[in-house]
Amino acid sequence: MTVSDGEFDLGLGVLDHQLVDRDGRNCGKVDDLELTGLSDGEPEVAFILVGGNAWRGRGVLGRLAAALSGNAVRVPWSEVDEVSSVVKLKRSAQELRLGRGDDRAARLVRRLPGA
Amino acid sequence: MKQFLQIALGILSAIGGFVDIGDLVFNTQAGATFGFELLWVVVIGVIGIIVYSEMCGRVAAASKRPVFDLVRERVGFGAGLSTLIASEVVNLLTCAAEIGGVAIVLQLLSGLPYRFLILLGVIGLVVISWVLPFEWLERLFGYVGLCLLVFAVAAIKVHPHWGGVAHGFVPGVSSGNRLVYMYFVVGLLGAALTPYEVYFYSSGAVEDAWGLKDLRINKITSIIGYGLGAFLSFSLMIVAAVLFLPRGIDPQFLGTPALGAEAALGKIGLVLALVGILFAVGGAAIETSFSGAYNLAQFFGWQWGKRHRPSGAPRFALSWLVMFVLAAGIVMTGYDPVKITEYSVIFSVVALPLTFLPILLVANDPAYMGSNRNGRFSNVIGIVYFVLILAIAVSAIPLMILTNGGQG
Amino acid sequence: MRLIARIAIPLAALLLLVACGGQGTLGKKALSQEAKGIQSLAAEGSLLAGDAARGRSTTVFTRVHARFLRDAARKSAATLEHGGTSKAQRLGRVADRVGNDLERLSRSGSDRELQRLLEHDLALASAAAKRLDKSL
Repeated sequence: MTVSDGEFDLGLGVLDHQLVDRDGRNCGKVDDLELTGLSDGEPEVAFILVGGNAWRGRGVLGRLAAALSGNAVRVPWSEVDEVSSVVKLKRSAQELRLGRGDDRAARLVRRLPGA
Repeated sequence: MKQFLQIALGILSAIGGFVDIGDLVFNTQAGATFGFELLWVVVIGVIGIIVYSEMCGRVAAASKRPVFDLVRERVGFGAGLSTLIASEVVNLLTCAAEIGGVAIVLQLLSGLPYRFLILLGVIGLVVISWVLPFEWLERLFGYVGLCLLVFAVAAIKVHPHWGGVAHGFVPGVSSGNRLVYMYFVVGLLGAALTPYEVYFYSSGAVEDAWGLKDLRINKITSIIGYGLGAFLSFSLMIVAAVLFLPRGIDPQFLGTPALGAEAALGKIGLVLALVGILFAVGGAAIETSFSGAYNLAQFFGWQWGKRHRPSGAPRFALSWLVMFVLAAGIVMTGYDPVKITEYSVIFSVVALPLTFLPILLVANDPAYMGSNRNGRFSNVIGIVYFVLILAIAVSAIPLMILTNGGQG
Repeated sequence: MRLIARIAIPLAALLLLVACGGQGTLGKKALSQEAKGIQSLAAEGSLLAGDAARGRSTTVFTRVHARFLRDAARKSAATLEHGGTSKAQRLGRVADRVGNDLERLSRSGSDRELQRLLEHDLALASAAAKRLDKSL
C-alpha cells in the first residue's frame, strides 16, 4: 500500500515498523509519530520520529529509555515512498540523517582486520 | 539426491548442536539423583522445542523476517523492550556459563591454567565467529559436536536395566524427595526449551534466505535433528543413572559426565566426550552471543546479520563482540561455571513466558504469515506448552530456594 | 526515637549473638550434606583412580579432575574443622584423608600401583562417610 492510498490504521500500520532506505538499508524503527491537524479533526502524520527521546511517548519503559538518549531524528512524512511490511523511504539513510549510530560504529569496526 | 544430502547434513548439524552446558549439567545430575525416572521430561522438552522451532522457521520463511524483528511491531514498544531485556540478561548469563564450560574442558584436555584458557577460548570463539561465514559456523560446531554420540554408545555399553529405562518414559511422581524431583522437572524443561536457540534459528533462517519452498525440508530437518538430539540427553541421563547413582556420586563438575564416558569406554570414550562437549558448548556460546546481537539489532532496527561484512552491520558486530567480552568477564570472576549454568537455566525458565509468547502471537498473525499461519494443531500444542511454561516459570525460583539448588 | 533505639539495639545484639553462635556448630542437616558430599567426592575419586590404574584415562584428565575433587574435599574439611561436635570432627578426618588421597592421585602420573591403592582407600573413605551419615 502506498502513501497515497488514503487512510490506514496508524497504530498498527506504521508504528514500530522497520524503516528501510532507498538502498535497502535498515535505518531504525518508527519510534513515534508527530501528527498535525488534530484540532481540525483531520489528523495526518507530519513527521516520523526515530531514535533518542522519541520514546518519551511510549510508556514507562519508553520514558526511561528516552532519558538515556539524545535527540530524535525527524523524518518528514513526504520522504516515505511505500508502506508495506516495512516503511520504505525515498532517499538514502545518510541524506535523511538516519542510521548514524551504524556510521559511527562503522568507523570503529573498520579498524579491525577483515572488517 | 542433493536434497537428501542437504537434509542429512542439516540433521547432523542439529544433533551435534542440540546439547549445551545446561543439558549436560541437568541431565547428568537428574540421572545421578533419580535414575531413569526423569526421562519422560526430556521427551516433553524436545517436543516443545520442536514445535516452537518450527513456528520460528515458518515465520522466517513466510515473512522473510526473524521472529524477534516482528516482536516490537506485534506487541508494542513496552512489552517488546521487556522481552528484549529479559532475553539479553539470560543470553549473557548463558553465554558466560558456556564460555566457562569451554575453559574447563580445555583445562581437562590440556592441563593449562583456567583463567588463561578463558581468554584463549574467548579469543578463539571470536576469531572463528568473525572469519567463518554463517553456514560454516553451524556446520563446524554441529559436526564435531557429533562426538557426543559416544554417550549413546556408553549408554548401551553400561547395560542399563532396559525395563527401568522404558518405565522412565512414563510420567510419574518419584519415590524420592518430591520437591527435588520437581526442581529437576523444571530444570530439564528449562535446559531443553532455550529461547536463544529458537531466536538464533529464526535469524539463521533469514541469513540462509529460506523461502516457502524450503519450508518442508526445514521442518523435516528440525524434527529429526532435535529428535535425535534428544537421544544424547537420554544417554547422558542413562550413563549417570547406571554409573553414578549406585555409587552415590553427585555430579558437581563438568569432568564428571566425561568420567562416565571414560568408565564405560576407556580412553577413547573420554577423549571423544571431551571434544564433543567442547564443541557443543563452544557452539552454544556463539549462538547465545549472536542471539543477543540479533535481538538488540532487530529491536532497534539496525542493520544486522553475518551475511554482511562486519563494517556493513557495525553495531550488530560490536554487539556480539561486547557480549563475548562481558560474558568472559563474568567467568573471570571465578564463579563456578556449573553454578552459573544452574542459575542461567532457572532464570531462563522464569523469563520463558515473556520470550515464547511473542513467537506464538507472530506465528498466528495473518499479516505476516498469510496462509502459513498456525493451523489448529500448532496452536493447540503451542498453547498447551505455553500453559506449561507459565507453570514452571512461576515455580522455578521457589523450587530453587526450597531445594537449595537441587541438593535437598 | 529513644523507644526505637531501646528495642532495636538489644534486638540487634540478640540477632548478632544468634548468628555468630550458630556458626560454631553445624546442624544435623548441614552435617548430613557434608557427609554426602564427602562420600560423593571419595566415590568419584575412587572411580577416577581405578580407571587411571587400568590405563583407561589420560594423565592430564586424571591430574586436573583429581584436583577439582581435592579442592572440594579440602573446602569441606575446612568447614568441618569448625563444626564443633565430635561427629563433625570425625567426618573432618575422613575429609582430610579424601583430600590427601586426591592430592596424591593428582600427582600420581602413571604410577599404576599407587593408583590402585588410592582406588581402594578412597572406596573405604566413601564407605566411612556413608556410615557416619547414617549414624547422624
